[in-house]
Amino acid sequence: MEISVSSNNKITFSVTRNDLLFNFATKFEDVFRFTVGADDALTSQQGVRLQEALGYDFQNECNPIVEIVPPGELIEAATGQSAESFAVFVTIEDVALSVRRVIQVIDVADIQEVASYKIDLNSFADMGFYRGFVLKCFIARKSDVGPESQIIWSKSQIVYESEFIVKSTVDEALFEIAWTTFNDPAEKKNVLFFVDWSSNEVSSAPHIDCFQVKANNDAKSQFKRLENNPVFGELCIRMVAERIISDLAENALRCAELDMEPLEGSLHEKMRSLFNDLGLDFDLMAHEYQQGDKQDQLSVVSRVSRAIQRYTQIAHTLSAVKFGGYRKS
Amino acid sequence: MRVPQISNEQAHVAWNAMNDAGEYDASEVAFEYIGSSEDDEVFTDIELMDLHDDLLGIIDKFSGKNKKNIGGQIDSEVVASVYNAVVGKVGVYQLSQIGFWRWLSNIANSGSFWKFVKWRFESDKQVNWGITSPGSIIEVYFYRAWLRGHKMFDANLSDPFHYAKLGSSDVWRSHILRQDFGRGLIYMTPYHLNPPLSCVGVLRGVRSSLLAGLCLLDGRTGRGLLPRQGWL
Repeated sequence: MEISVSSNNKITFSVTRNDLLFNFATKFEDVFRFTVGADDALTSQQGVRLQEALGYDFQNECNPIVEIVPPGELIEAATGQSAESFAVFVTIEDVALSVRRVIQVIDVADIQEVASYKIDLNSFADMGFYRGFVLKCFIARKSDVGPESQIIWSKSQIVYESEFIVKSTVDEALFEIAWTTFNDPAEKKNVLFFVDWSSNEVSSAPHIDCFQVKANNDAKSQFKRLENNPVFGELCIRMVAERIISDLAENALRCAELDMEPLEGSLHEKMRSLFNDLGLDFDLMAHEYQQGDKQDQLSVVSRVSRAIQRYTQIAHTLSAVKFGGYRKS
Repeated sequence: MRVPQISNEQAHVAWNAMNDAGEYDASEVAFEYIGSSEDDEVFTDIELMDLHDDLLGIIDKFSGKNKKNIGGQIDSEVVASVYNAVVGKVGVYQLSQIGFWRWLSNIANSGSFWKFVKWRFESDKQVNWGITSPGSIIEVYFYRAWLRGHKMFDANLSDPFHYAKLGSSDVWRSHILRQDFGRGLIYMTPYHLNPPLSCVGVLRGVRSSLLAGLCLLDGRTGRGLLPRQGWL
């Protein structure tokens, strides 16, 4: 209630109340709102909400807040079960450490109006948030019931989940070069680089467990000079890269397990993303490669080779090379 | 404490020198440091003397044995030593950074930790020494040892590292740290002791968010999760 006195000595009494309809979520997407801090609007938009360079002090610079709009009616409408059986869970995950913990468990019955929770990142002594954090808010049962008695019967069945990501940019290359001193004198003298395959589990293991791109450490200084050569450097480096990527692509097509979702960070996942950028469907081509005859395989390799050259812009780089001549002294 | 860190490039140079000659003179290396510039104390080899001694003891204990068979035991024994070497001195934020582990693995203590990793794996997979990108930090040998301790340390147990020690290195790498469900603070005792591959499939089928607490997997049958108190 407010009381105000105007300039002509009139006293005005006003009574307001929150619009309950407005304050209750009308769809699940509205239930969880999030803000990273002062400059970020409190919205229900999921996914990456802030991305900063590696080294950004997320722990001290971010003041995240989660707002929860009462979801009781939505839960009852969607499940036919009493909202009292459900709770809202909030978890926070340190991206660098891969450590996650539950930071809030709130009975849905206790959320009668919009609830706001400030998250003090400094209160988590076992986390550093070097590469950011992921905040998940979800609705699930508080306890299990018999499987046959309800549509939603297990705590592991999530009615709705929102995920908010605050992370650093990490330059995740398709491959890294391991400069290695070769033991074999002939290799030491003549081999510049090769892809050293150690596993065919391109879908289920991280890419670094499948292969390592090894380069001759004795040739490193010369390679660096080549890289910095203003005339031929870029072309040569692009040709090397194209050769390596083609090798990785063909072997990924050959070994990909198509009946499973590839592990995050696996070669399969990385290639799928690259192919997507190239306008190709990795899984479709891998299926064609694996199910087809030898001619089909050659056809796939040919298409991939062209696409990767397009990606590495080999011909364009060659066309930009300025050829001079050598003058006799 | 401020801690030294090195780049992939610097680590490459040290790694190759160690691999070629068994030694590397780091006296000319310009280190960068992680930590407040106001903090005068710097983490040095002195802080790692106990770790050095512990690792020598481990080498002595397992010397001559087939490391393919007992590699997991070695990795378990390393956990407490690595954890104790840094806890209370170095912050979690600093320990999250791969540059520190590159320094420790390749340069610290005149390369003695480099030699330990070489002895442990007998391979040239440089990722074990931290020569990789920040996103692959869990593949770094000493980092993983610390993380096992960091995640599973329980002061209420007679051996606070009981759960950190359980499980072979492969189980930790492939079936815990690389998996989304492994991000929860989990205790999977039977799973550690007898990890049937089918368990992985079972776990992948479960919404990972719910595994953020204490849970128990039936390692004998590989079926289902047995929620215990505090699961969520």
